[in-house]
Amino acid sequence: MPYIQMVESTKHYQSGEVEILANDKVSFEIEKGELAVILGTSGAGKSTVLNLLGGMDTNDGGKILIDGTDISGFNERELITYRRHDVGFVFQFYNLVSNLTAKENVELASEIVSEALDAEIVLKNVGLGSRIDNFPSQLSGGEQQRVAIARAIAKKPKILLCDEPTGALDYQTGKQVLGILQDMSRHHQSTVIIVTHNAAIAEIADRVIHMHDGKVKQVQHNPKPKSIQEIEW
Amino acid sequence: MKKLNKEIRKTITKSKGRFFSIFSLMALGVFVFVGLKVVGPNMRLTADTFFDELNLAQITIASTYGLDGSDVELIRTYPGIRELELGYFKDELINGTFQALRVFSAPENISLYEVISGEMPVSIGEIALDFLMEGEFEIGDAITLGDTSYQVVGFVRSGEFLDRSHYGHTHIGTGDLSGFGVIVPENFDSDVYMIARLTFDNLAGMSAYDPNFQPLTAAHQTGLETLLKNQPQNRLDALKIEPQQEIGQAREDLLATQRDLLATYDELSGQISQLDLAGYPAPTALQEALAEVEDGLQQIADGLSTLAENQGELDNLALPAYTVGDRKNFPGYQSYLENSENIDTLSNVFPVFLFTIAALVSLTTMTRFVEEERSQIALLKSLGYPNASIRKKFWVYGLVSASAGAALGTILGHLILPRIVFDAYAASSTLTDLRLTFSPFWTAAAFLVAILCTVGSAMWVVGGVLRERPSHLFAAKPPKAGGKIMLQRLPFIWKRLNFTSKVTARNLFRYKKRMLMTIFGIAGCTALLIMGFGIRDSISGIAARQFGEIINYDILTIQDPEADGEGLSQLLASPEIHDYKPVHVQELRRMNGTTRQTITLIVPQDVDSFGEFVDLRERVSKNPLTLDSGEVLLTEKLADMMGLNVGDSFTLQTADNEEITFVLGGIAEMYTGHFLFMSRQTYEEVFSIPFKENGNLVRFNGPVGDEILVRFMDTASVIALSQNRFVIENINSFLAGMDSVMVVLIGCAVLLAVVVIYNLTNINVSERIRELSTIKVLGFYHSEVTLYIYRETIFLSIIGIAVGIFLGQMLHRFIILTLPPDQVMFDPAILWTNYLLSALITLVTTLLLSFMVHAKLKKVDMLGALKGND
Repeated sequence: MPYIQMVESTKHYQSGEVEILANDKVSFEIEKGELAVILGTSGAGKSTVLNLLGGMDTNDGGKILIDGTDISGFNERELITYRRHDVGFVFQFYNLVSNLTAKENVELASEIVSEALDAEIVLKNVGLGSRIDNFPSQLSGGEQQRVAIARAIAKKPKILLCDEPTGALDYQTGKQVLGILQDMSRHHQSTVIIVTHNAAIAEIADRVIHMHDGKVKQVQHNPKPKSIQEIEW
Repeated sequence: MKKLNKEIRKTITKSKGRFFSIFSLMALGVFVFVGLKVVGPNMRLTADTFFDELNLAQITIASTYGLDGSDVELIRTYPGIRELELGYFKDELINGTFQALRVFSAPENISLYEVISGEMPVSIGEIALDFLMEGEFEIGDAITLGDTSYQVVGFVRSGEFLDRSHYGHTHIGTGDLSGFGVIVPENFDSDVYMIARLTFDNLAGMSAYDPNFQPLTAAHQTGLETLLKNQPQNRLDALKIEPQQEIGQAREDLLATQRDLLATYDELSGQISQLDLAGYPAPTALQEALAEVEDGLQQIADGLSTLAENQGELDNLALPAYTVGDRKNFPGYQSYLENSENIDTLSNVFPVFLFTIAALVSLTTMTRFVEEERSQIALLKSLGYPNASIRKKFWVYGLVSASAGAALGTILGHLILPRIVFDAYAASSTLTDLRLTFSPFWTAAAFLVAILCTVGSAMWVVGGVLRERPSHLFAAKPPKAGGKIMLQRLPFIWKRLNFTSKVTARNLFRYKKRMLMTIFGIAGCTALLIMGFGIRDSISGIAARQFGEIINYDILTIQDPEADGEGLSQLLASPEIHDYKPVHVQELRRMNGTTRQTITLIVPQDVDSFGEFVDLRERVSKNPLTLDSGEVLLTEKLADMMGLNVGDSFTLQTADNEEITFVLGGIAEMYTGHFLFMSRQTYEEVFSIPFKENGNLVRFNGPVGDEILVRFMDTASVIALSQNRFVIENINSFLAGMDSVMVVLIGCAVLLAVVVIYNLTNINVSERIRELSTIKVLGFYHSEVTLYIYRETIFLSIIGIAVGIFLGQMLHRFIILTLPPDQVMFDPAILWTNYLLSALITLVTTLLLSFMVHAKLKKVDMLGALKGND
């Protein structure tokens, strides 16, 4: 049984009088420890998938099975619990709390789960051992994103959801961040899902889910994903 | 430009919370401010209009022997009299009760009556009663006063009786009046008038509350007193002439008769002895005649001694006493004025403070509003809108929200608050139907402050924003960068804090302006509550302490030391009476500016067990004070007013204007009235006259009944009774009024706390919406999200409460020193329960509001907030 399974998941939004079908019977599977990329242009429905997988929104039809549990029937509190224990988020704009140090930002997440990793160790793992007491404003974009990744992985989530993680970063720093994410899936058996419009990134993925107009166009399995050093954009 | 106007309208409708915040802050602030400012003037206008309508006497003159032709002639010579009217009155008991009424003759011009129902009496046998007796009696009822029966024809309100429960003293019944009535003058059978009522040219048309009124009245009072100075002796002399002549005539007549009889006696006894010598027995007729003459002589001797007695009585006839009273002598007149002035005092503190908080919080809200609109400003600016158009939105927003609030506050403040305060505060007064006035001055002041705080502050901030380059503005103002906080420099504390406390600590110091606003807002509300409750405590403490702890006698009797005290001694031995202490009581005076203060001197016959009647003690330490020789004890309020310390000398005047100097030996706790205590030895030394008791402090076994008071009054030697229950009633009715006013003010303070906390939390939430969304996404439960932000609010509330307690103490102290009238001291201590209650109300308000914030945070769209750049 696949680790993550989306079965004919449908979601629409009401925007004024217009109804937008954001996800139309979306189905795909992702195995444990895989690095998956959801690829599509703006408005393809990839962010909706991410929101549904992350327990930040509920679908209108279909199932979302995470490690055998269907989260599509969850109530609000169950969704929060799910987010709390099973999901790590990395956003395009980091969303660090500017008033807290790097370490405290990580602790913000690790404090609320029981078996979290030590914040300082996680920060060392993402290469920020020397910046743990710095405030976000004292860090570069890449460093901030690495703090965000550290915050996401510190609580040992079942899945790591990344929304355009390199979108706000320069080329080199972007690569560095992707390297960490790939490393998480390869060496720490984390299931990493990256949502992006950047096709170049798809090459490092074990699985690429192409989306267009709210539908899954194609799921492409990549037996030999490239390493970060091999890709360019 | 049309689009811009539409945008302004949209902004108002879209941000209902903020608009409502400013609106309600201003409405509340202006309501209390304007409302309390107009109460005092309204109260005085109500009274003054009433006095005008009745043409209330400005001076009244009465004498113990009534006013005869010579008095009236003399009074008429006083210059500046506008009107003079003479009338009669007498005090009578309602048949079968102890209720004493003062029955006046119906006036023609001065001190008229307002007819509440029915009509004024027009013929003999008709009476109009005090309107407060309506219900007890109805029109058409018969009422028997003394031995005369009257028919009730109406109910009236008098300008000379303004207190609902206190009508003044009388020499009958229980010693206190319980109402009044009006009958036609023809119903009186008296050779002399009893009262003269006067009005004066230089007071005509002047408000009774004009600052010149009291000094001018006092001048007339003194002038008339001087004019009448020799009148007691003249009246007495005049009074004596006729009886003296009668006595003289009768004496002469008797002596003439006596001479004749003696001559007859001599003649008869001569005849009898001649007959006797001649050996004839005296004829029976002759003997009988002699016996008759002897009888006559005896009768004449009796008559002469009766005449001598009459002469003695005539010689001992007391001088009449003349009273020249001003309006302050009318019961309730002075306390009504003082009450209205108390509200003035209150209106200088309470609403000003409340309004300041409301204004400051509005100011913060407007500032925040401009900050939120930065990118909008940038857009308009880059599109080429002139600065004036960009500003327009903010000043219109500020103007509309503040003016709407101020308008509502002004309307309600003029219409509702004065009525509430009047109904509560003037409950003891007979005056009803408060006259409402509109105060353009305070209205303008309130609007000005309201608009300055919103429009002014917004313009200030917008000005700053407009000076920035649009490109700079487009990049939304970055959230304040984190930094080390001071607490981190204290590692021994910092290390011990858990994670959430560290986060709270960081956030507390992050937004210093909001932190200060929250502390100030909460402190203000707490302070207002402490003051409100504190004033109540301070007054309620008076009755309990003064009459529960300090003054333990029930009545003070005043008697004539020359009169036969046998009846009084017997009465004092009755079983109802627990014990009594003979004292010398005397009134002393002190002039304080233009007002005359009266001080009651009490000298116990002996100091043994005097403490059981009056517990002389120092207020703070509760240390007992003793009546040492050479030194006197003065009560605290007067000692404070005179600025005296123990050991100082001070001078007071006797009723005969003799100056007496005392040495202060101690300051005694006392809340109403000024008292001077000294031992018998000190009295004799200082006054250089022997101690003579003229009063008794009496303690009863149970409650004081009317029946025994009547027995006291009926006792020959008793001149007057002073009952403490009236003072207690007075305090209690004042307290009840204050209570209701405080409920209103406390309500306003709580309302303010609600708006302030809600508003500041709102700002807090909107400023940190990204942060809150982030932690929501991270899987914080709703309660954790609320606590994440509300922990700060609670912490700031606690600091605010602490500051508020301190501030409240200062406000309370100020009010407690300025509020009470001259002869009253409020208890300056604040009960600890008061602190607790005020803190709890604020804290509970804060906590209750957390539910509202909780609901609001639940609805926050975490996804929307996370999009876009930092």
